[in-house]
Amino acid sequence: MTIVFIVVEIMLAVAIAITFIRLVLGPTMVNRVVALDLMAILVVGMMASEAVRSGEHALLDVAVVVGITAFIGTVAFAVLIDRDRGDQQDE
Amino acid sequence: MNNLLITFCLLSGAFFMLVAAIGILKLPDLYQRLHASSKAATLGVALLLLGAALHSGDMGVVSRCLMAIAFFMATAPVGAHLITRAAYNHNEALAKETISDEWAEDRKGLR
Repeated sequence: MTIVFIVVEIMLAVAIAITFIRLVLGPTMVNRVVALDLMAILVVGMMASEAVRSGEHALLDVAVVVGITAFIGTVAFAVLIDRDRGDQQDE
Repeated sequence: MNNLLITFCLLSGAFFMLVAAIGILKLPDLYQRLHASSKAATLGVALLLLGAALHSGDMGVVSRCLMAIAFFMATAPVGAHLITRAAYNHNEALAKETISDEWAEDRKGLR
């Protein structure tokens, strides 16, 4: 069972590293928002696997809060980007 | 048996999340990247949370995990839709391979 957690957490860590490359490369702001959103979901997954490994089930509550915060952040960025375009059209 | 199920859930969840991360790096334009991140990552996190729920066996933890799964299933499409619309309105480039852009045709009619 221990090796399963090692494999799972290495896979998730590699996934976060790959997503970070997109966050750095991302040609536009929207790409970076998508990468950040995916990173938050990956962190939630990592917390779920860590909750199973350590038996510390309070981590699941933290994971839910991280997920909610990531969603609100994504929506806020989407509205911000949309509104930015609206200002340009008004001028 | 239960251990086998938990192992399967955790490994397949991590696999789908890795697929989502590879997709967000390799796919050519924002819309396809969003397709990878919203679908594969939601399935991956749902499987990981299901693994945690199966492992605990405690009713409170199971209900919290199921609530989190329902939350991710409900919010991922909403967030993806909002981001896609903002990007399209912002004239985010489509990939060269794109063969159909029905929204652009609709907007030409409006203008």
